Amino acid sequence: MPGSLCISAKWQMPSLSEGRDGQPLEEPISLFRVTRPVTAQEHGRQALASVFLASYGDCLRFALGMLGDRLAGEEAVQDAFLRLWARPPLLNDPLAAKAYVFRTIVNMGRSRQRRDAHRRVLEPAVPDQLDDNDVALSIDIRAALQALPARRRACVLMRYVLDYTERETADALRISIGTVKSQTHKALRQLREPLTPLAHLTYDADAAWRSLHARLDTAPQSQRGSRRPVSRPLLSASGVVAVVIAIVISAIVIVVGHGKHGANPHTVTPAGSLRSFSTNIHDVTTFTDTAGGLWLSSWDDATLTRVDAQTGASTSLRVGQPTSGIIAATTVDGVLFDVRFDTGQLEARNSTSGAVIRSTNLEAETNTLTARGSQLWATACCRSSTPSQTVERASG
Amino acid sequence: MLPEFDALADSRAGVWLMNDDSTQLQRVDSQHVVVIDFAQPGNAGEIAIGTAVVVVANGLGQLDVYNATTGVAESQLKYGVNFSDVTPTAAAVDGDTVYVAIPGHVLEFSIAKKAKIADVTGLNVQRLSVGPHGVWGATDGSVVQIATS
Repeated sequence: MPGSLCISAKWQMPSLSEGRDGQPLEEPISLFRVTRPVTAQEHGRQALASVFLASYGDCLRFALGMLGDRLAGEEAVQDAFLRLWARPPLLNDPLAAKAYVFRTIVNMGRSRQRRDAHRRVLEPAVPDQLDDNDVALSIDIRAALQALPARRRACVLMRYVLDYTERETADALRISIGTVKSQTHKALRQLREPLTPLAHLTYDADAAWRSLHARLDTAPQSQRGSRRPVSRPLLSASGVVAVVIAIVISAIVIVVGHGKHGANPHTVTPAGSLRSFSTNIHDVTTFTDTAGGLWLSSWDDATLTRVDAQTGASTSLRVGQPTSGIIAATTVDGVLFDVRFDTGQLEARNSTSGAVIRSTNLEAETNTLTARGSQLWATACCRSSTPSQTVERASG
Repeated sequence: MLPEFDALADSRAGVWLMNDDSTQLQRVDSQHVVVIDFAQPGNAGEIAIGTAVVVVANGLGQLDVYNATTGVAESQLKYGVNFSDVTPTAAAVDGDTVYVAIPGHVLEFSIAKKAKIADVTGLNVQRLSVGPHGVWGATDGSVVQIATS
């Protein structure tokens, strides 16, 4: 055929039910796979489903412990995930998302505790109905848990029901490890019943997800529709430029801002000239600045460390058994005071050498110290089961 | 009758106790009773007490400033748009200046100007201290000077 290109090939198309070598296939091959890009909303739901299904059991056990009854717990988990749904950036980080849900449940627990306190004045206490199919969570356990302050309850549930490490608990609640330890310790002293039933809670995460999924359509989600698939680059070229500009502006603001305020007796130093000294103290529990230097300690180790504020030279001082951590420290008239949590041993020290000037036993688990003029005040915990003002006052 | 108080706020202006529900703070070392009812009950976060003010850095991205003599709320400052739900790890007052440590930052506020005036980034401060050597932060494995004397 003039003017045309004719290609002739002797090729036989295999049957859709045969493989390349003519052997039958288990399933027909689809020649054209039509793929549709995942929408932003679908991607968000997938991410939410992934976090929800992976963490539902932990969240439900946690909420049940925090709120005291199963129905409230299930609702709290759903509501917390709906709030998470309104914060799309968190969905890209499952650990941050789960921590957010826990914190939301803690806040719900606090709100409920306040409401219940008001309600108790008006209504006689009536225990909630227990589902026979549920775990045998006794009223006593619930009552004991509900009597705990919210943060203590959160700590003990995470450590002993969810089996979180101290570090994981601290990260989730955004508190220090020392606080986790002290709050957990206090909680366990208050609890008289084992918490093991919570660990054997049964649940249907799939059914819970279906219920939540049905509520997503009516729930607000900021940036809905703007979410991109994960494969999208984190920043476009214009985004990189914007971030660079923002960093430069921030740096200028920091440097200029530091020189502007005069009412502060201390002068803020530009970031580049701040003094910084290494220490071997991690998870700092106490930190106080005395004329004799900076003193700090960690709950994990009953050691006081002094850092010279000029040279950075540090010295450590063992003050007790490793299990007897320092819970609080402060200064009064240049004297350093420190107290150990479990023994209540209070020491007054020379703030330069650390040598003990005087030692007193407060005979109670002590939480905090504060100086007022020449007086030293301390609070003690768990002295009795009845609420009380537990303030000790020592002479200066 | 106070509920169970076991948090004692370190202070150079009185002895203050906070209740366990984190709803109020009360001065206990004076005949003149001062009670501060928190603007955000249950979200007290970190408390710092100066000579004239009590500041409460909460986990909702805001700093509430109260008059230490009357207990009245004076102002509310924001951490910033990117820090709306961060939990502070420490707070300190030094004269007119308030320092709030949040993960990765130490924010500096002026009470008189009712504004955030600086953001020292890159610091994960666990404790803050105001003393004769200035304002210092303790991080995991180091101490860092925030402001000089």
